[in-house]
Amino acid sequence: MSNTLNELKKGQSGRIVFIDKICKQKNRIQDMGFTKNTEVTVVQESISGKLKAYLTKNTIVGLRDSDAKFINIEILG
Amino acid sequence: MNCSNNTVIALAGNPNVGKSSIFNALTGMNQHTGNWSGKTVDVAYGEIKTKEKTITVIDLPGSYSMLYDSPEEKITDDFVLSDDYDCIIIVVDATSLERNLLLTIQILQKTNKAVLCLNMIDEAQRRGYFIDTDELSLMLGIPVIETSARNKYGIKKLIETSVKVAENKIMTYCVNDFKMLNENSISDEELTEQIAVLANKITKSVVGVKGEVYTKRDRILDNLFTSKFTGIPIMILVFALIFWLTVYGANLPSDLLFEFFNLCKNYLNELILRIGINDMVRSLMIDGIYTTISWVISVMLPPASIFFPLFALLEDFGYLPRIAFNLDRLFSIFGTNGKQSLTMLMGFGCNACGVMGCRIIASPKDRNIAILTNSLIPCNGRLPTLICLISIFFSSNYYGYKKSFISTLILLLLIIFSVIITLILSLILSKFFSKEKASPFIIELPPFRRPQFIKTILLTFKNKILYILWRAIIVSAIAGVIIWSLSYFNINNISLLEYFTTILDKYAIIIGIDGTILAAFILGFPANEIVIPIILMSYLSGAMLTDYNSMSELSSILISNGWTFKTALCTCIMCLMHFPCSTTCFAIKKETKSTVWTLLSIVIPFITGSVICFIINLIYDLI
Repeated sequence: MSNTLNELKKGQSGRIVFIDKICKQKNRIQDMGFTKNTEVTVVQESISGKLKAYLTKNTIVGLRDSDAKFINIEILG
Repeated sequence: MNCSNNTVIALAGNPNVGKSSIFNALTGMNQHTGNWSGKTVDVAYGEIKTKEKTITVIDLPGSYSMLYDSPEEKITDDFVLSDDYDCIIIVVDATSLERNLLLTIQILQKTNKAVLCLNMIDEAQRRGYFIDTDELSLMLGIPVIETSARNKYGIKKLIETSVKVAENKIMTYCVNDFKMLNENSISDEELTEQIAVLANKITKSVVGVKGEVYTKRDRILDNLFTSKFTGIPIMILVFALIFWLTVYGANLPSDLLFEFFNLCKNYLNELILRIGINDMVRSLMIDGIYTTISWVISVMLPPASIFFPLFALLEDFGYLPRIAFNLDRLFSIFGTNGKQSLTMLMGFGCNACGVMGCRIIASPKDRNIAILTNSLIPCNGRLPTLICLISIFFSSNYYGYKKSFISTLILLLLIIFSVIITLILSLILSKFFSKEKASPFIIELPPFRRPQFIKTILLTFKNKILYILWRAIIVSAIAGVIIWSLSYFNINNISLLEYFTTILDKYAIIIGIDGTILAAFILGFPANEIVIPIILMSYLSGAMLTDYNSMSELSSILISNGWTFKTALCTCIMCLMHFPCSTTCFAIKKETKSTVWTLLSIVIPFITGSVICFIINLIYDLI
């Protein structure tokens, strides 16, 4: 079973398995630190709930759910 | 390579790692820095003079990747591939080495004439990080220098080492791992993945961690600033406070400056009488140039001196990216993205800066929309005009604190109205100009940093406020001459200015203002600061030349020339929405490289403002 990054709730962590090829922003997302095998934690949900802030590689990055859904992860809890 | 007596050193790195701070520390220059990605979008040049030679230092805009997709990142990419430098200082944030290594490795694939600058080392140590710099240097093939730009720590060593690399006195090499990356021909995606693996490997072997970057304090602050219940209210409160401090704080200094200039005016008049200069020249100097300059200084300078430092402190603290995070959803509903809110915020300072700042928006469509609508945010040249009109017409029945609260509230309402119009226009434009899907929004939320209060305040004073003052003097001197000439010279006893305003009257009346006000907006094209002085001068040139010594006399001049609540409201709206000033127009032309977009940026706000004022006028007449 595969999960995507946008499914994580605040406080939950996951490890990135792969980023979907159809994601147009794949390069950009990788450059911001969302790369394979990286651990990601949700630290903040936005007011609308359509955007989350993630802690990855010691930086905090805000990402829309519509982009995060291309990032496949395994949930770490 | 460059000639031997001039060494060129460039600074590259991720956004918000302190490149500009390092640049300032290296060159002794004073560029303002901020705690957010995208503060520097253009290249800055500086110099270090040593006994032997002059070193040129180039501050490149921040970049996440050499596989660029936004214009400011392309600058870095092109530069690294060019041969225009002797050494690149790769500035990295020591607290997030792994992410920073992604770009570092990309650069090192292309060149090894580089030095790694491990900046914010003090912060990293405070947070419990230990970095083995010798090991890191071995793994990267270049020297590694620890610095803290804030405390000027390690700067001297950084210069020395960079010069040695530039002169080939320290040999750098391309490590095998990076060579391998070059040899395999693989797609960009795979390349990024492999680089990430390398970055992870390097980080694991050189960094020891005992703490956490995202501290409890950051967590609490982020909860306050971005959570469902407190995010937006706090944002509004923060801005209400800044505007209130600006409105209230500027009051007294403004009055004092007014009085001071008036006092000087009397002495000047006397002096000129005694010297016996002819009356035409006297009138030009005093009624034209002096009056305009004194107006601009007393009305513009106090609010600017309060607003700019406050805003700079907010920037340094790291609050701005949180605003973009909060507002992204709202902006995406209107077809653009949250980064537009950052460029709008910059617009409060100066629309030309706001337009330049739009480089942080990756998608060309969103970028152009943000550029086009930026002038709807009242810049520093227009904010005082609004404050002045509000205090005369909308909050004149109140006094003291109460007046300042009411004024701030009305100012906020006007700005919110402008933001709403910006959003609506963005929606229309995004529907109209492209079928491209809404662009992605990825934003870094940096750790909160305590602003360096005194340094920031002194710096903004030196950089911004003296600049504004200088510009105001130049522009108002020129404008003063023009307005004075237009009102002094006449045909058949009717001044040129009157001809001009009479022609404009026909259109102006439809939108609730008069020809003089419209003429002032047109003549204020070089700088919006001079709109009110133009209005006053043309009113005064017709009637007996009475002097205005204070706000109250100012209000009586306006009222005696037919101003009502409606006139003031429509003037405020037109002040928010007419056309960008000449400087901003140049910036728009430069950024969009399109005459059509530039023309649109002039026409669209003007039509919008006219339509809104027309409706106000209509409703007002009906009541």
